[in-house]
Amino acid sequence: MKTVQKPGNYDFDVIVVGSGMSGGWVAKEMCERGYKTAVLDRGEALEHGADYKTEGKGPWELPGRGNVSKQEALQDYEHVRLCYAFDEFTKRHFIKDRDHPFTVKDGKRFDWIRSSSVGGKSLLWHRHSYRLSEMDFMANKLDGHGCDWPIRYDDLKDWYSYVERFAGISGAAEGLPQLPDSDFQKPFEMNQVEKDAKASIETAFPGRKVIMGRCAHLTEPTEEQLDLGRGPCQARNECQRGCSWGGYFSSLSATLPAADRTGNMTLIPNAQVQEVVYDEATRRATGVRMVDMVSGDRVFISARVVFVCASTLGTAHILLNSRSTAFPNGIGNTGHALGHYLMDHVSGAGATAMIDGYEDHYYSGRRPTSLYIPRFRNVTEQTDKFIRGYGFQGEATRASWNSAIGAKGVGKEFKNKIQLQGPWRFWLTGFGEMLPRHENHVSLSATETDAWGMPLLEISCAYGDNENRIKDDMQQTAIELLQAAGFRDIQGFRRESYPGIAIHEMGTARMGHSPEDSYLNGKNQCHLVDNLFVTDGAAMTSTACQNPSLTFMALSARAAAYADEQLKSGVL
Amino acid sequence: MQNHIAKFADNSKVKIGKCNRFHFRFQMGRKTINQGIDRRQILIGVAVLMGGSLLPGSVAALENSDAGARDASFSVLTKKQFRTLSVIADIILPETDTPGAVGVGVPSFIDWALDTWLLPEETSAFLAGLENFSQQNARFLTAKSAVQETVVRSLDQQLHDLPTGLEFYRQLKELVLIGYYTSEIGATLELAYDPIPGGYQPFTTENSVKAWAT
Repeated sequence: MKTVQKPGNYDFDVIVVGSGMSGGWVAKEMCERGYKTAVLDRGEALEHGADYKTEGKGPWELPGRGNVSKQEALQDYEHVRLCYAFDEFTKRHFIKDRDHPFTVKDGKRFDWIRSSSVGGKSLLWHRHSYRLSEMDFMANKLDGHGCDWPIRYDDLKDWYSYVERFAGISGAAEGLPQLPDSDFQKPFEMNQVEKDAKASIETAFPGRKVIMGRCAHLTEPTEEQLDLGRGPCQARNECQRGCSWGGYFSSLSATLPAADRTGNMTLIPNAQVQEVVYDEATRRATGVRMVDMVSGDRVFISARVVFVCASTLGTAHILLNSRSTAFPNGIGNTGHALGHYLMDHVSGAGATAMIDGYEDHYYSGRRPTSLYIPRFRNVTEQTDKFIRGYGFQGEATRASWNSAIGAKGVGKEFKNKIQLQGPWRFWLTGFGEMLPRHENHVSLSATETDAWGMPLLEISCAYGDNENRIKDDMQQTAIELLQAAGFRDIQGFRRESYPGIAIHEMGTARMGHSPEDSYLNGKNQCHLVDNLFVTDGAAMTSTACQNPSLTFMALSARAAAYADEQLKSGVL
Repeated sequence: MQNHIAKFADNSKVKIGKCNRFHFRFQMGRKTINQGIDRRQILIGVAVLMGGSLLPGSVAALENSDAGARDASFSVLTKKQFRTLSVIADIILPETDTPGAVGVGVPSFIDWALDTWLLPEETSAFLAGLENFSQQNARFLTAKSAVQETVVRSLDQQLHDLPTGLEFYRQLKELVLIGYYTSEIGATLELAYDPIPGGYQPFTTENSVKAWAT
């Protein structure tokens, strides 16, 4: 039996924990529907534009010319320093690992990359945006790895369109069943080397397509986007420093301003949410307990509905720590799914090549996206080496001065050679699906806490045989593709890497059909606590091989609309 | 000297950015990116260049005055080390129609890198390698520039033939390249730099084109 309390008894209608890719969307949707919404974020406040301190600066304007002291990186940024986007320009937007420790166990390693500010990783993401397909939502059911998704592509299709129209996704329609088209703004251009590589590869392998990457950059901004103060992408490709023009989608450029202009949002930075509070009598979440990380004050905030969107592992961390008599191992935890089935993509394998000719071709601008080769393994080309598959990102660029590092030569002729545009080169790198496995899990430390009294998160996660075989194939196939393109000096690579570094961590509170196999239902609602929702990566039942943020957005908007219906009908 | 500075600063003002085009095209105008050349830095660079114009041939006059002394403006390097690195850096990237390594302050960048960027063990190894170089080439600073260049070219050849055992020179060359092409002159005058391209546009050209700095 549900006991619906009067809204007046609560501090807010809705609490959203986390303001990143997912929390930003929930905040926007609930505020626009008239709900008084508190958005709590562990990160520091960051004002869009004004606080992007390194934006537009040349390397000579920073003390380290873009380089972070190696000693500082090792001491303070043990994991973050491994992120491709971490440098002196972006350092402030990453968390200082040393101040926010976590532990690993079972001899495994996890490179957890975290943000330091409001807006979360939406400020730092790589912006590739792809829909999942029917194949992806069916995969667990068909091969038996992981529980069945409680939703199918048709459940999410219109929500993809909805978030794409607001966020702004550039790309081209291709009609590929394994990679459904989005509602696009015009795509970025391929250069001539890429066009020719596309033709050669697609001729040699009719089942493989080389397409322009689909990315959350404005190329044809809509009135709605312009009204929010956003403008077209300037092709600076310095996104992670922050972009005052809102050329790419982030919470700071898009969803939070949209939420804010309703007057319904209260944004609380520096708020470490430690637990969601559960009331056994009503079987509802009543609110959250948080610590003001600056003052140390501990506060309870109540609301009718709680959305936890604290990033995959942040969400699991909070939910596991939400202990009560009824749920001694975390709110809504039946012992089957919460904290388990942690996944990331498998990455770090591909190939590079040099290209003869095209001396009369060049480009202006720094394209903020690359090519994409959608999954073809076990789609158009079957393999018995592994199940599921992977996609490639890649591009052709001309070498510049940094390729002179390690090159032979000194003097005027050396300098004059560096001055001119260098040879063309190509890189391809894969992102593969990781299977959900119960043993890849997180738990709370029984002995160690952080500076604010939160038990440390313990992570135990490793790639398995299927991922390693995918990684082998990514390297071999990348070589094969560059050979088909006719390039020279092709070099495959397969770097040792650990889960986390693809920064596509997913799972730990997955969606499913019942509390026996999952934490959330098909509406991202906790099976056992009706007014508790999780819409970030934690909700993912499988990873597919596409970059997942667009799916987090669609799930978030859809769940918010459902919560609204339930609130209006008096069920919540 | 004043004339030189004025001339240099004027040359350095060209081709910086497209801020006006951007504002004209999009009328956003909410953000002004500081693309103005840092005049102070240019003057520092020019001052070093003035010193640098003495190098390498005339450095002998200074050679014995203060070999082990540490200049207050350097964090790690002694004056002699600074001079030695300056000579090698300017041989790697000499003055052409743009300043050479010394002219854009590369030796100061190396001093910063040794102090702040590199790991302490890397800095120790570098300084030991520099000391070893100075011992093996005891008259390097007083040698004629052609001799100095022969020494450096020989090192470069050895690094290419046998990449082990020359960590000092490998590291030095890397720092010279980074220091040069991330400097304002290196990025914006020697190479092409566009802070706000406005879009990605492939094109064809029959002429040689400067490489993009970023």
